[in-house]
Amino acid sequence: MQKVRQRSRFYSLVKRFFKILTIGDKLLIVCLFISSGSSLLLIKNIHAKAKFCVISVNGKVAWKVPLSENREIVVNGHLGDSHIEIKNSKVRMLDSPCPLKICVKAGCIHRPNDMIICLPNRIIIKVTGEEKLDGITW
Amino acid sequence: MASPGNSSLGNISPDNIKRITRISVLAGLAIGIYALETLIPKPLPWLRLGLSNAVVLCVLTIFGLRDALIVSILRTAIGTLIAGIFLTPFFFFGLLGGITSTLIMGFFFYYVGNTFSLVGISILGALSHNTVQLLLAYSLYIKRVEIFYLVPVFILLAIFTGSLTGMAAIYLRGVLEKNLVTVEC
Repeated sequence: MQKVRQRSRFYSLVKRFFKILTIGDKLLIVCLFISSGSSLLLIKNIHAKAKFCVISVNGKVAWKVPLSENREIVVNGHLGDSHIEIKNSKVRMLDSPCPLKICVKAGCIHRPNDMIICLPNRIIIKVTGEEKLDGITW
Repeated sequence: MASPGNSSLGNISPDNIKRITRISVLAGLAIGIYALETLIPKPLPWLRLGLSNAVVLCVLTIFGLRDALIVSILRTAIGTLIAGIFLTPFFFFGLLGGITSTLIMGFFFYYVGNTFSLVGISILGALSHNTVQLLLAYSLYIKRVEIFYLVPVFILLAIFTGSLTGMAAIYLRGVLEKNLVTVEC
């Protein structure tokens, strides 16, 4: 009994809300929804511009590989050899000699400025966008 | 209550006294709502419902833009004092956002009045508040383009919080017109 009353009350509230809205309001809300969705799509496209994968060992850039080619790289770090896989424009650490394997558990990265960091082996993998253009500031 | 014309009040006219009282009462209402709102747990610190904006909107529709601006500034100043974030970045975001959103709501209410109901005007106010905050955060603190990834989220939030606040404003305006306007003026 109580539940039915609650529901009808909510329903009447929603009905009242739509009664209040004028045509301008409805247009405004629809326009805002559309602009929100389109800006979301735009951001997705910006993300899709990831191009290079920079691997640095001990703070120095060791490799710079385009994400478009599928390959496996063996990097010699502080503890031993790390296996890095690039596949379907995504990068991941396949295997590492470090004790906790945090870098392996980090999984795949593909967006610009994403990073996988392996501290024990002193390896940093970073995805960058356009060449020589890390970010824009005014 | 001091009667108008009392020597301790100087030469403030009765109309002015009425106006000062009105603004104080409404600003008190807005501050109370603001302070209660800070108690609601929220996932992100800068995310809030903005229900005190309903009071500002009511003042704007009943008493005009000047009173609304005063109430908005008082709300932010004293409300943040109570919430313990006075003179922090959040205070400046809130102050500038409040002033801008009040001006924009005033513009739309006086010049495009018949197109939008209070809900639409409130959505526009919430949107301008969010935009100002985002621009301020970008230009003063973060300085990274990545902050604009938040734009779609902010637009969606503005729609929901704005329509809720607008509904509250319509209800509040009914109450205020019944009780305050007829008695005071």
